[in-house]
Amino acid sequence: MNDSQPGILRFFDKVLKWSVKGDLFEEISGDLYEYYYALSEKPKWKRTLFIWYHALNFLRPFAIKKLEGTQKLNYYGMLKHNMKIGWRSILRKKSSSLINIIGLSTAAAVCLLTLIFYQYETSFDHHHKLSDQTYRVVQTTQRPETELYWGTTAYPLAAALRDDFPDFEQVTQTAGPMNRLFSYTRANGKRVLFEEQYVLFVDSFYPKTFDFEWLAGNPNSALDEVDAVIITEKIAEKCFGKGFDPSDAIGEILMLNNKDQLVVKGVIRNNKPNINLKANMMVSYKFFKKHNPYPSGNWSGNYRGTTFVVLNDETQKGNIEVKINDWKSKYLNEEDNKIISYSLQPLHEIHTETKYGSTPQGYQIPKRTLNASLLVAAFILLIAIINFINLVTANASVRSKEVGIRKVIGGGKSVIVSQFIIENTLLVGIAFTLAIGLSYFTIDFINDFLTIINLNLTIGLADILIAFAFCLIIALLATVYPSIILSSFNPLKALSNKGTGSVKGAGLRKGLTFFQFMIVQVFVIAAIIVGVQLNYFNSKSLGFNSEKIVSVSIPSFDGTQVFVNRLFENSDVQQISVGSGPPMAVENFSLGTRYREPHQEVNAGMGAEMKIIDSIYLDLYDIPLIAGRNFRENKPRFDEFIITRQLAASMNWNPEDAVGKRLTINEGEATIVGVVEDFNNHSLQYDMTPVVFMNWHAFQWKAFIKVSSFSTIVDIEQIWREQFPDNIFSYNFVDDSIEKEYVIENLIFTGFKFFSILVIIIACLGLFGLVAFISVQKTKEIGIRKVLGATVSEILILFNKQFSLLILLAFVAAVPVVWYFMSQWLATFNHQIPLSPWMFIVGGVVTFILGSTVAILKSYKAATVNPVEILKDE
Amino acid sequence: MKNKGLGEFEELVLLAVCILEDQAYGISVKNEVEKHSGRSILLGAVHITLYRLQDKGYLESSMGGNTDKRGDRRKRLFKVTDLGMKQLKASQEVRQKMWQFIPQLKAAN
Repeated sequence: MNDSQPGILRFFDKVLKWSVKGDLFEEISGDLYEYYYALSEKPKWKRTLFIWYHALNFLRPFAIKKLEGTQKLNYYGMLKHNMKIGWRSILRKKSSSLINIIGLSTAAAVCLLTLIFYQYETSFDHHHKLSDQTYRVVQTTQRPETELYWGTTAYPLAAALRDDFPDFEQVTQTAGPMNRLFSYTRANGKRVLFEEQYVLFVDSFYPKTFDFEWLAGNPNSALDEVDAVIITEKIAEKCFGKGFDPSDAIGEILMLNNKDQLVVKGVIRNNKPNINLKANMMVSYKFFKKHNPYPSGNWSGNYRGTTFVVLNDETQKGNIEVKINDWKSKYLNEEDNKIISYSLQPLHEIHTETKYGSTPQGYQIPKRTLNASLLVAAFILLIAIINFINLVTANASVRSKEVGIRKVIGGGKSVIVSQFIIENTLLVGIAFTLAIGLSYFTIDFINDFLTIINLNLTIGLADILIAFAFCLIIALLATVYPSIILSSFNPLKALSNKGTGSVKGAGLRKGLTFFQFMIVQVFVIAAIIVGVQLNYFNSKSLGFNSEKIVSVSIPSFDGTQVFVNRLFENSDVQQISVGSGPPMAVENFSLGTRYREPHQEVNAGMGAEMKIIDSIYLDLYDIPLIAGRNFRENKPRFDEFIITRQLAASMNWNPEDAVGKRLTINEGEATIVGVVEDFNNHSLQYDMTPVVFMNWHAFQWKAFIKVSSFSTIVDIEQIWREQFPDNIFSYNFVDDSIEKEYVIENLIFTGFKFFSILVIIIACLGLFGLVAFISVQKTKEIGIRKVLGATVSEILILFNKQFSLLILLAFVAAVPVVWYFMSQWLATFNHQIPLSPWMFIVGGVVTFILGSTVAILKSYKAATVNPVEILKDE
Repeated sequence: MKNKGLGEFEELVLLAVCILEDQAYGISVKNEVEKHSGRSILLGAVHITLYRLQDKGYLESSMGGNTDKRGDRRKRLFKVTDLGMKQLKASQEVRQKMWQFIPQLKAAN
């Protein structure tokens, strides 16, 4: 009969027979058949569709079979049983379950967040379509005394490369980002004035190389005009107000520095946070060229220009580098050609490879630091896992009776292993779910905390999946061993009372605890060393005094004298100096030059930093003169130099001899009138370099104001605004800007401090659990000892002897490890602290005290129990 | 079943079963309801309602009457119980009563 039925009905017969309750099958199937024939006048496809629709609609709860008998998973019953037992045992051992869950979830959250951080920091500029083929052109300059590495190149390079090389898919030149002042007048006459820190000058090839999300404008032609500007949403909102229409913004006029008109040709989405070269506004490179004809045509200069190239074929990178270095003689002058060489750095490496430095105004996190952070996170997780193994194996021995009975009833080894694996996986699962929640809630907090590096982390689905994969692996790692220990009990011994006394795996637990406390001490000691080093950094005498000095910019040189005079009317203003920058270069800004004696050849010149100052500067910053005199006045054409001791020494001059000698720098020749003591003209990660001070009426774009009280800043602002209208006032304290140079170092320290505290807490939690367990184990022993006359302190000693010894041994093992790694880390600094024994001893003592406090606290309770209570149940 | 009230669709199905007398089963009820209400109904929905009404005690059923077109499968034939009839009448009365109190209709009369 069935054979004559259409295939589709037979198919649904099978489906329904398998899925629908037995007593309902007949009528449902019959109705379907009848319905099918009732539809016989309809076209076949319609009939099929209808049947599908109606048949599938029977798969609802009312009709679907319940799982029964052999249809259930083979192990379903056991699984359910194990889950229940597992849950009960978690509830029974509240304190150790809690320790496990807290430890594991914190550690896992830290790991997850570190992983996300790592991913974020290594994802810079990965989102561009051409990012795999994009390279930054970097420059190496061979100097007699050293090699210099530049991430920036001469401005004309890109255009020349584009003209002469067919190997590039794209060549693009940028300048900046730079600080510029803009204004926009709205239709209602309201004027919006703003200063933008990230103004990047880019050529028309830039949008073809890097991908932006264009809200309006044509990426291919937007930058063709000289006066074109592309703005981000953020800037557009500032100008046109909230809820603007991007396409309306096109054609609007922005004023640059109150004199040049720029036409908005495009609106793009705000920059992704993980890009190297930040740009909130992109102005046509042609505009830059027009207004800066000298630098943009100067092959010898290296300003703030970055050149990117896109290769057609990445494998040709080596060849192309060789070709470029042959070709460069066409443009570079003879001397430059000898010392300058170019190479290509993959775009992906810019953020993490420190050799060539970051992009202008960008920051870098060295790959080494990133890897180290992963390693540290892994260690934290390891410590939590050790806790887990310790506590699970310790608790195992208590359950020997349970295992014994299971075995007697017929449970095989594998059944018992799987029972404990399920139980522990349950625990790990809870911990990881908590960890994900924890990460989710702390991530914003971390972003806020690290806004200084513009961090923007998010948790993605992929991260959660990774966490779960982790969870499974760890559950397996952490549970297999304890499960095997548990399952290997001999039922006879376990059930006779003898079995309960012996603690299985005690040796392993000691080993793991030892290892744990070794890591703890490595962390604690390392954190102390990092802290001392940074403290040294922050408090080391830099060779000058920057206290209570406010730095403000001078937008136009003409107003300087009036501004200074007016400032002096304020009684809180003590001294004012005008110059090119503070003694220590901040924000990657310094003026470089080369110096030699007039009779020497040009390429004998050595590198120095050039600072333009006035007669007050040295006094203001407390930089002592050791020979000669100070400047008397600034001149349009400088004629005097003051040099540092280091510069004099490099010429083999005594400070006294140097005075009166002639010196030539790139900018011209003059007489040395004074020598000052050396000071740190670069942040302390770097060595100090020779400095030439000059009395020039140029580059004096900063005023340094020594004040007696910080509140004076309000008055300074008032005067400044009156003096330089149409400009935006900004100031900083020289102290602060110096501190900012150590942002990454401080970050590492904060991270380390945090990680060390976490490590200590997790390890102490573990110790707490372990001592708690042992004190239960040894209850009877304690009782008998007390009956025989032992005092509380004797029992405490008995308990803690073992752990104290472990911590001490761990200390001995930790010392060489820390010594090795920290000397390596310190070696990366030019001004480093010596490693001294006290750092190690303090670290060891702190750990020891914390560890023993935890152990004593827990064991004290056991030691003070009345022995009658313990012994009476025997 | 706690809720012994009648839903709108339940009422339609129950009425259809009454109309069909001895021939009330899945397909015929579906056709009947479709015919009167003019809307197309899922076979599954008819079944689920029939079973629910049976659970509530408004219907009783027995197996029987196979035809060739059913692939040799029997039908489950439904019959209204006294309780079902009572319930139907009750809900009819409730409506009737409420109709009387609609002022617009009164005015029209």
